[in-house]
Amino acid sequence: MTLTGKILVVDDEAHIRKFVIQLVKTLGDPTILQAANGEEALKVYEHERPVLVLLDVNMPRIDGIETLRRLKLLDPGCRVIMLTSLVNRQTVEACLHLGAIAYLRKDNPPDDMTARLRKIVDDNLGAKPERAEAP
Amino acid sequence: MEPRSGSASPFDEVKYSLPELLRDVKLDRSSSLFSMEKLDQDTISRLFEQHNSRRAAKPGEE
Repeated sequence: MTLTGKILVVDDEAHIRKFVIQLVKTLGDPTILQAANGEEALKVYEHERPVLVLLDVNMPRIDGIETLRRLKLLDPGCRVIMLTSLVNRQTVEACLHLGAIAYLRKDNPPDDMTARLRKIVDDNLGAKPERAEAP
Repeated sequence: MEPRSGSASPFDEVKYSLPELLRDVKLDRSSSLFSMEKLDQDTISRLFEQHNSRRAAKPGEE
């Protein structure tokens, strides 16, 4: 599947956002939105309703886990991929239970990351049942 | 857990109750050593795939 629509990339480090954006663009022709922290991410999500969020965990003020929790309150059907270097079981399980669709380690080689991202997009970017209109 | 006497089978020697076992598992999972275990990408992906397929099988549960 070719990735289209709005994609929100959230990371406090600009060079990481740049890297992730390059990665995402290899999967199609998405419209890229960016946020440098959790607060900004919530505001952008509320206004733009992207089809996918790529979210860092370790960020100042509101971390990725809290941002994920608030995004799910805002839109239970939002699709969030955690993209982080924090790989302890506690963090992974917290994101799993809060409803992230996937969790990618930032230290994966770029080719591997692209392949994993492609699979996640193929598996998850179908219809959103939570937003389906009643017949 | 209590040793059982008068049985020759090694499988009968220790008896666990389910609540005890679940309590031990819960304790293990919250212990710092376990919760701080570093997971590789394949393990993480497997956890999410299992969780997502369970969620898909039971719509309405988060």
